[in-house]
Parts: sequence; structure tokens; C-alpha cells
Amino acid sequence: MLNVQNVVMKLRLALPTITEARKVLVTAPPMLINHVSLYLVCAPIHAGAGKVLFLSVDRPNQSMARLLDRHCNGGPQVLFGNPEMDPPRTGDVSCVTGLFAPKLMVDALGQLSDSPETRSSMVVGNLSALGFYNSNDRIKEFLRRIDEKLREQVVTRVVLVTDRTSGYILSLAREFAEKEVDLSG
Amino acid sequence: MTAQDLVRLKSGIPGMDEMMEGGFPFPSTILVAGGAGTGKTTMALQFLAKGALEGEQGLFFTTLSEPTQWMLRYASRYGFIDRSYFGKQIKYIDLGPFLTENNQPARILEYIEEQIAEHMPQRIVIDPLTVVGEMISGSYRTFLYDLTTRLKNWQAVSVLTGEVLPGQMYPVELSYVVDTLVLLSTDLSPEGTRRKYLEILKMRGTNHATGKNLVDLSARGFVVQVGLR
Amino acid sequence: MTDKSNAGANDFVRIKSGIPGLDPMMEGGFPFPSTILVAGSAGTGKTTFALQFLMQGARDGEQGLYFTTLSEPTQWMMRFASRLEFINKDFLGKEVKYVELGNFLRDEKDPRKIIDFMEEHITEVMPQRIVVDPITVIEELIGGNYRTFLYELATRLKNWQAVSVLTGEVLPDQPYPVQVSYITDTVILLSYGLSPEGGRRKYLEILKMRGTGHTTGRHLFDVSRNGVSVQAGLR
Repeated sequence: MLNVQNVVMKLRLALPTITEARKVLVTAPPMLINHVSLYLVCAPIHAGAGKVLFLSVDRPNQSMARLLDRHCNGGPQVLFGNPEMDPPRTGDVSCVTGLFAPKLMVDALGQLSDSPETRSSMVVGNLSALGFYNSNDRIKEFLRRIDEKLREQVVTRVVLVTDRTSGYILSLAREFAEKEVDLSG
Repeated sequence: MTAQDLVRLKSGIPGMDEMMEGGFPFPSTILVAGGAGTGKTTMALQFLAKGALEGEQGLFFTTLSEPTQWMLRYASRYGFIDRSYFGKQIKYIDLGPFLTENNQPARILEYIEEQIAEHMPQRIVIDPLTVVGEMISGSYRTFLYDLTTRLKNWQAVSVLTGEVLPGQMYPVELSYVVDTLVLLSTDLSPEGTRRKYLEILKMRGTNHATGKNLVDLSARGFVVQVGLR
Repeated sequence: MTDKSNAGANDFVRIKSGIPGLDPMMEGGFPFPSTILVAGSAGTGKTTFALQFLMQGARDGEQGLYFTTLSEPTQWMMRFASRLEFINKDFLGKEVKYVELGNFLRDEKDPRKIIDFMEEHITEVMPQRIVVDPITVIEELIGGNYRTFLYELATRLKNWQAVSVLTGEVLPDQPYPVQVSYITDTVILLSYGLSPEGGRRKYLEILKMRGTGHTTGRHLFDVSRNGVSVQAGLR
């Protein structure tokens, strides 16, 4: 039984946890992955980071851009019911779409080097979707490279969003993360 | 090597989920095609009602400009749907104005996408889709092509309903752009009673049951008689 | 590159189709190079056929190129394709490359420019196996220029040194896409029938195959997540 408001409320309550950690895993119900990703891109957890880099995996850029436009730019917050939420300034969010983990990573890093500020935070929109197009080894390598960028301080924070469709990917993500917020219950 | 599971949405049609590995792939596009009286609109409504029960958001786009009151009266004949869903878990949206005035296909498509971005539904219905052919300027085929392309940019299960013309097996202008093709048909038994059938002709990514299955269409709604042909 | 010396009586080099039960029906495989039309109604297994064909090539060390004309995002189609048990994800994006032709076709109607676009990718990727799925959509998108497009395509295909599979939707008014069949060496028809118990059956038939002695008539054709296959000897 889905309950969008419930999930969003749990997310809101978890914001301090998410803001404090460098590597966070958010486990979401599969049908609300878009809502959760959107919230995490817009939520005020990115203070101090110049840019939010959103890796939407297999969600097309245009629909994400439209969602951001509709829900995160000061319009009526119908979906999230949170008028205190600070909308990001235009141009603060960069979306990268890609299926194949290696290329997705390369494109994302390309975006980072374009930004004038050297530190950004990264949100991976649907980690489990990578499982449709990549072998387990490629996904491991993907997470390893993210770790590398964190160590080099090119990225200040990483939030992974996933659902439970792949047990293996979930376990990889849990190994990677320092904190987990479970919304899938 | 085992393929990764797809997320699936329960159809709300008793007997149908078992025919398709547990439900419709999420997201995906589905064409429900059949002649008059085969139960397309009932099936579509039942699909949205199931979503409402599950806490999901649904959008019902009508192309026939039937007023909400009409739809409520129609829906209340069926036990599976609660009138209180309309306006909340099921948003009823009229595409009629776009189809009679300037009939610019681009504007219809824009409007549909705006509504999807606004409500972020898990379930979408466009009923009926095939009548749009007479109502828009420019190529109907191109419109359908563009519509399905746009729907595939969103995370929802979209059910499109279509009329099957006499002599056709299915609407050929839609069959290859959708992921799933469900055929509803009807015939007369030797005793003279009218029998109704459902068949899944194609469903990407899914091992689905093949062949026609008997369907019961009543005030309880649309029910697939499992194992009966 | 692999040894393609599966040479039949006519001394063609032949490549494995990847479809169990099919190669014995055509002297061991598709001639290299050649063009094949795989035509059928919705759900008869055309796309699965094409993917299986490319995966076979990948396993044999060959490069494959898949042109989709549907204008859906590649990821949409590949999510479903990944459910086919014969798909090896390591090949995706490498030995099997995808090109979205659909978006290009929405704006470009000039047949020469369309084929130039295809040729750019073919020159870059250098595939031994090419798929255009489905080719019949192109008629709707470019209208009157379709015939020119097909003839231009026929000419260029000869230069591309590959085995090309073009898939086509069957329309009610014709047994198979006749215009496309003029430019292909082989026509394979996938069709429906009813079993005695009223279930839906699928069939494969090799309608024509230039230069190859082939089995004729309808054969039972199995379509599932495991792939497609011809049930040898069954009709």
C-alpha cells in the first residue's frame, strides 16, 4: 500500500541524517523512486555544495527537467506539501542520463569538471535500474569510482536511491553507504 | 544467468495477473483493443480502481468529452469502484477541448505531459484513443507515434483503449508502438448467448499466457475465467 | 574475426542465425553478405529474433549494430530485452551497439540523408550484423519517399559487407511487406494459427531465399523469454 505523503514525511524527518553523512543509501518503494529522487535533489541538504549532479540512469532528462520545473521552482508544493523547502536556483541541478555504468560515470565526471565550483553533491536516481544493462562487475566498478571521487573531494556527498528489485545491488549499496534510510516498508 | 525482475503492477482484473508473471510491467504501455461492448472502458476503470486501492495515483484522460457526472454514474454501476476516488486517487481529465478547437496535436501532447508532471501518476488511461484520428489535423499515425514516445519518458503503466474495425485483428497503427497488446473479442455460442474473450497477444519482457480466455462482464466488473476457453 | 567457413553447396560463406532449428532449414546459415526480411504480426517474435541474431554474432566475435526506428528511448526497449535469458549484458553497448533512428526520422524525410546517417554509424562501428527494427515504420514517417529510400538502401547494403535483418509489421491487406521484399535476398514470415484446443500458435516459414536450397512450408515456432526457436519437423 503506497502512501506518498507518508514516504515524504519519513524523508523529511530523515533530512538531518542525510545532511550529516557523506555516503547515504535511501531505499524506496519502486513506484515512488521518482518522487524520492526529486525530493532529494531539491531538499536543503546541498548547502555548501556548488551544484547537484543528478544521475538519473534510465529516466530521460526531459521528464526530470519538467518535474524539477514543476515541483522545485517555487510553484505550489502539491506533491510534497512542504512550503519551507528551498527550491534550488536555476542551473544548480545537472542531469545526466545513461544506461551503461562506465559511460554514465564518464559523462557525470565531465559535468563536474565544467562547473566553476569544484565541489558538488551527487544523487543517483535509481541504482537498481543499472542492473538491467550492466553486469555485477560493472556496477561494483561504478561504486568504486564514486568512492574515488569522494576521496579526491571532487564530490562532497553522494546519495544513492534504489529499490529492492535486485538483492545483489542492494547489498553492494549497503556496503558502500555509511547510513541507510529505509522508506520501502 | 537469471534476468533481473521487472517491477509489476497488479492489473485489478481477477484472473489476469496469473497470465502475466504477476502483473503489468512497471513502467509500460498497453493497448486494450476490441469492438463495441467488449469491456474496454470497464477494464480501464477497474485498472485505475485497483491503483486507488493500492494508494497509487491514477489519471483518466477521456477523448469523448463525457462530463464527469456521466462517468460517475457509469462507474457507480460497478461494485469495484468508489465514487469518492474521483478527483483524488483518480483524476478525470477531459481532452475534448483540444480535439475540437484548434486541433493542434502538439498542444494535446503538451497538455498530457503537463498533467503527468503535475500529478506524477503510477497509472494512466487514455480512453478511447482511436477516435482521435478523426479529430486532429495532420497525420494520425505520427500523433500516435509521438504520444507513445512521450508516455515512454514517464514512469507509469499507461492503458490506451482502441476500437477494432470489422475485419481487423487489432489496430495496426498502434500495435507496434505499445509494449503490451490485449485483445477483447466476442462471439455467439451455438445456443445463442454472447461470449466474451480476452487474449494477450504480445507482452514485452514477459512469459504470458496465450490464446483466448473466457471473460465474465457484469456488475462485479471484468473477470477472466481462468482455464476456460 | 571468426571462421565463417560453414560453406554450403553454393560456396557461400554462411553465418549462424542464432535461431535453433533454423540453420538446418537453409544449408547451414545465412549467406554472408545478404539481407533478410523477417515479417510478422504483433507478438510473433520479430524483435526477439533480431536480438538473438545479434547475440549469436557477439558470441562468435562479430560486431552488431541495432537501429531502432520506434523513437522510444533505448533504455525503454532494453529494459524489456534484458529479460530475455539469452542476453549477455556484457555485450550490450559493445559487441551489440544501439542507434536510435526514430528521433532522426521525425525531422528528416530525405531518404539520402537518412541513409547517410545510417552509413556514418556503420562506418564507425563496422558491424558484420545489422538490424533495422522495424523498417516498415519508415514508410509512415517519410511518406512518398519510401520507395526511393528502399532502393537507395538496397544499393548501399551491398557495400556494407554485413548480414542485415530488417523486421517488418504485416498489415491486413498484404501477406508481408511487399515493397521491402523486393530489396531483400531472403523473406521469412512469422504468423499465427490456432491449435486444436483453441490456443494461439506461431509459425515460421521461409518464403524465399535467393541462392539457397531451403525447407519450405510452415513450421511451429516457439516464442518466449528463453528466445525463439523452430521446432524441427513439426508443422
